[in-house]
Amino acid sequence: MYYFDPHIHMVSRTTDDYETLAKMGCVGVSEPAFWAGYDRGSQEGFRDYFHQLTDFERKRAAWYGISHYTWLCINAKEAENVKLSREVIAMIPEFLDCPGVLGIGEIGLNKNTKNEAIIFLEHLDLAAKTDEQILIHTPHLEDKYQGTRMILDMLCDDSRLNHERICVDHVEEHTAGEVLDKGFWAGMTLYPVSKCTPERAVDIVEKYGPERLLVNSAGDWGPSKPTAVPDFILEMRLRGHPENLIRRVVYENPLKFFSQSRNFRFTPPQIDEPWSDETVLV
Amino acid sequence: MNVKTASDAEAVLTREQFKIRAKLIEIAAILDRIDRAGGDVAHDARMLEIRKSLKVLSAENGGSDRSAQIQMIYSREFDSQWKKNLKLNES
Repeated sequence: MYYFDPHIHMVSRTTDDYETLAKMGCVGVSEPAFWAGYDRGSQEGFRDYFHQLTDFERKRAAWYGISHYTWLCINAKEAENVKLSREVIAMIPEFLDCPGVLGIGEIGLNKNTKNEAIIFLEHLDLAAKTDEQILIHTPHLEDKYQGTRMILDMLCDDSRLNHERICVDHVEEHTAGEVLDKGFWAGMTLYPVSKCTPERAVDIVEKYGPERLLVNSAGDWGPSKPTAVPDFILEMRLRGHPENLIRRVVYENPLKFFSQSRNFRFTPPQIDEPWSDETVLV
Repeated sequence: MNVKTASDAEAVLTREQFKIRAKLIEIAAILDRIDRAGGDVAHDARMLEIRKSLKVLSAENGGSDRSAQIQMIYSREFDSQWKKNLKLNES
């Protein structure tokens, strides 16, 4: 089955991973800007990173027939440096017209601090002024519920934002409902220990239905599995769910969400009629 | 919109029984390990979270949201006054 991974940090992965994803049916990935594992020291460091996301990663994905898209921001962990954050936000518009840039992300909160909230609001303002889509990171573990509620409060306070063009990511059982109820897209991240497992993601689909739900691996430099979306597909099949429901979640939903971005271009893979011995090759 | 679960309760139980068994034994073994180790964590807040979670699991009717209930046990309580308390308007 063809699928998209709508949140995966391919700069942290090897070229072999692209090949494996392609073999498993992946036709497109979207890669939000994120924390490198250390705090970057300058605006120029981010400029180099944005070049990598908008140029080299697209080429590397294309070697295996995978379309690569990206989102730009300074992430919540580095938002404590408000001065640097503002320099990076000021630079982002230079890249917004690059092919494959879907919007602003993954912005959000990490420890739910005042500086994180300030920089989150400034990213929202940029997205509203430039009419960009938004991809949002929600915090981990015990901070997730508070952080998700804070994020929803800030989003709902800004009447310029169209909820259908925003994805709130890393939802779990206690946050998915509120995100969906408010009209946002919700992303489920499949991680080996924290966040969600493929089995629990299927439970969430069974509870809420496929509308505005995305599933991703968030494959990054930490313990994570870039082929987690196929694990979700397998779990859906093992539970007897029909192929059209699975395809809705892993292929049609990302297409629908991404299609709202002015930089989204995608040629769907051709699905031929079944082969017949009478087929004449020209 | 709910998606109809593809199989009935007995089929789900049959499919999942060994997973449940393995996970319960794993939890029991971890608690035994804590008991065998030196020191006393009986009043540690993390043990309280474990006991609360086990109570959710042992409830006869969990209302099909046991996982959300346990998530909330492991979540900080929501501060609805967060904007005021962070002094967000005083930046």
